[in-house]
Amino acid sequence: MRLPMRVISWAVNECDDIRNNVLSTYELSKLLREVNRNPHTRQKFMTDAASVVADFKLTPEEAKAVIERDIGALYKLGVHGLILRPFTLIHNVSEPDYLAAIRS
Amino acid sequence: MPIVYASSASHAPGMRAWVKQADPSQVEKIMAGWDHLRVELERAKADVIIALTSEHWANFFLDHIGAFCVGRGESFEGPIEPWLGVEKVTIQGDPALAQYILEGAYKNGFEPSFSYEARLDHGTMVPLSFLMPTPHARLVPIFFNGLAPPRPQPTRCIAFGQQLGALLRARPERIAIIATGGLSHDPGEKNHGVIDTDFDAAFLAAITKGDLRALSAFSDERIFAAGGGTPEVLAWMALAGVMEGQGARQICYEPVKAWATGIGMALYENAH
Repeated sequence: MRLPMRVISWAVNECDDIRNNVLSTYELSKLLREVNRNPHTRQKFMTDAASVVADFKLTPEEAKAVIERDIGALYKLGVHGLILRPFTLIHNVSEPDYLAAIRS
Repeated sequence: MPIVYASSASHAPGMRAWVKQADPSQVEKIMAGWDHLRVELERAKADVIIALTSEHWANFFLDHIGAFCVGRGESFEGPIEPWLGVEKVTIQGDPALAQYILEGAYKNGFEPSFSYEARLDHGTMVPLSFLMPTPHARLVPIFFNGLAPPRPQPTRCIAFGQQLGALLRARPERIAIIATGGLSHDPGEKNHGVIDTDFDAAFLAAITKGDLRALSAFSDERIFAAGGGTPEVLAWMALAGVMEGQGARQICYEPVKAWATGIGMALYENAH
């Protein structure tokens, strides 16, 4: 479900419409944040990501990006850096790899 | 009772999680800075620490987020991040003092939200891991929304601090107060690694002078342009308000590339 919310000018210097005007990824961000901060969700996600994804109202594109841990896609979908970077730290993604993915 | 200790400092996760990646000469200065702050805090023999701290999606999502939130729990656990390199601890809260702060703020024209279940992330736990390696004082965290606009204005943060200072000085406890966050950084975003040393210098100059007018003049736009994480300095502004124009001594400033953050520390040496 895409929620038309007026949100979050996440980045000023590298503007694009998604990140500055609409948080289209409310549910997606909510899911990743839950993985970051809830040890039970995190454990379930690590063993069966699809079952966690099924509990959130994601578009097929969002679900695919999460299950494939496609960092570049998650960033372009609008996930905030303070949710996405911690999510990738849980997956042991190095900083150069992370930055290359979001800048690609 | 006068405030017995006050300091502001950055809380970048790298100070715990990625120490070896940073320039050793910078690390040395930063660790010496923490030692200095810790020794002063121990000397102050505080009963309770008020932490003016940042929200990073640990407690609030866009389902509910307010400008200021007072933690009134019996205890607080943190950090929530398994990768931080800080051991999880439980720190005793001070619900009675938190309630007093809330009631006083409401009388003074501020209506912070409150939480019995606030969780602590690196924003509070990195500084506390250095300042209070073994918890010996109670904690009342006050969370600032530096994330989701609209963010509170600098003038409001300073005024919030001013009324908070008056409330705290009317208490019998020995109260220490810390602000955490900043300085310039753009965590996890495309400008991750860019440090706005001009902003940091101007901001630290205003903090060290206790220049509330200069602090008020920083716009939300200017602060945010220094990186998405930079609005955490709103907590420093609130502490400057608490200290009512007292100057602070800059303990260190190092723009640490590996931690993608301008690391600053300031101590109110004659806190009262």
